[in-house]
Amino acid sequence: MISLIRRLLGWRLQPPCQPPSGIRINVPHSVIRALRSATTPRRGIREPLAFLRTRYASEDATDVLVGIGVIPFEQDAYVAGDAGANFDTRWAVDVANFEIRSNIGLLLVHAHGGRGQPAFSGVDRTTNVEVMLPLSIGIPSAPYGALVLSDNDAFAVVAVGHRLADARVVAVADWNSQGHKKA
Amino acid sequence: MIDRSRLTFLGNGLNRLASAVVSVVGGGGGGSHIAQQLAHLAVGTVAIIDPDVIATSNVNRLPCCSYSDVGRSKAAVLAERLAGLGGRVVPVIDRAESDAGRRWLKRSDVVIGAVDGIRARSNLERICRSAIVPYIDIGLGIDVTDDGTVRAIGGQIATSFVNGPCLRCLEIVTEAALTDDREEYIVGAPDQQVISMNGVLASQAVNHVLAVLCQYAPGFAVPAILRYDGLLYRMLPDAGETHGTCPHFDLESAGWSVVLPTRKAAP
Repeated sequence: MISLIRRLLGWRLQPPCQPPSGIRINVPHSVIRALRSATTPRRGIREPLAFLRTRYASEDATDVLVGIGVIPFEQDAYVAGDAGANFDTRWAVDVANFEIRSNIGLLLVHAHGGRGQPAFSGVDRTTNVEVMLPLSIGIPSAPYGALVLSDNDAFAVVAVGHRLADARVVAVADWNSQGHKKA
Repeated sequence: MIDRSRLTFLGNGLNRLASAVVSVVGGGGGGSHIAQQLAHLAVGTVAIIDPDVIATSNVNRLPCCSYSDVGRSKAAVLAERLAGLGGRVVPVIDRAESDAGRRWLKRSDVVIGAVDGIRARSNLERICRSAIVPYIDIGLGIDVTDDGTVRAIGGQIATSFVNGPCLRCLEIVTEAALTDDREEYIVGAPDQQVISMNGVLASQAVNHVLAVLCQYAPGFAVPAILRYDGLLYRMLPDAGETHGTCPHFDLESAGWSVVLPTRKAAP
């Protein structure tokens, strides 16, 4: 009887078994490297941009995203302007329309340099709200947002409903980052 | 209070360990060892996913358990005994393929499978690959004759990383094995004492976790497969191991992959 009561109490007193909450973006090391390469300043482009191609981990796991590839901005996609990087939003929309055919959304990526967790500037936040958030309207099957890199970390926001929510970027070990060479 | 400074060889990896989520699927002979070591390493969160209760025949190979625990949940008992070691140990009393189980797997930094069935392994790997989560699989098999003579003790630790070989590439998951799936890993004598052999595989699997999360030995690649032979007293990677692109799981197909039909052009 005592054993039965203890078991019942144990069941009732179980701690909640929920995993850590918040949005998480799993990105393989190889994709992070490609992102860094695509967003490193170079002659003529002070703040290069790229898209991180992303999907929801599954239909029922929209708070876990996977980063599967990189689209560097084409030279023609940049336009003159006052911000660090100005781009042709029609080009961005065309890319988004193409990628959504494979259920792939986009995060706009740029790099700030420095160490530690980076943050979006005021201009970045305006771009995120005015360009990336509208891309998500009417598209519940793919994630949209923005990501900023520092030299050793990253931070992202992802569209959730009509707002952008903070997301944690997790660099995931992949086969090549473990020191393996291709066959 | 956990004295993390005693683990100096892990260096900055300690911070990674303290914030990591590691899911252990299976709270049996292998999984219980793994969970115990991860808890002692003060991994931030260790989730033990197992729907089963402790049977009398399990007690001889479950560290932390005794006969008074028979009939209780494996995951709950392990979480109870491994509490207070610096990290959070969470019992998930459900199947890994359940909603709760899948939620944990997708939010883990590493998943370790210590399950008996081939189909269960295949399912775990599929979930992990889809969410880009490194998967480590351990398996032990012992063949005993009717008179108790051991014919073979074999096992393996396999890793399934993005861009690397999968359990099918390593011929652990095959169509024949899926058809012949059985969850009995000790052929002929289910009550055999295998706690030490499980411990060998479990310890090395935890070393793999440390290598992945803390990179304590950069330049020394975690092998795709380590094969254990308990009769020859050895554990070795396949000689000359090289693997091409995995044809079963490509990065491009990860996540909620639905290819929509091409839109017809407007008339």
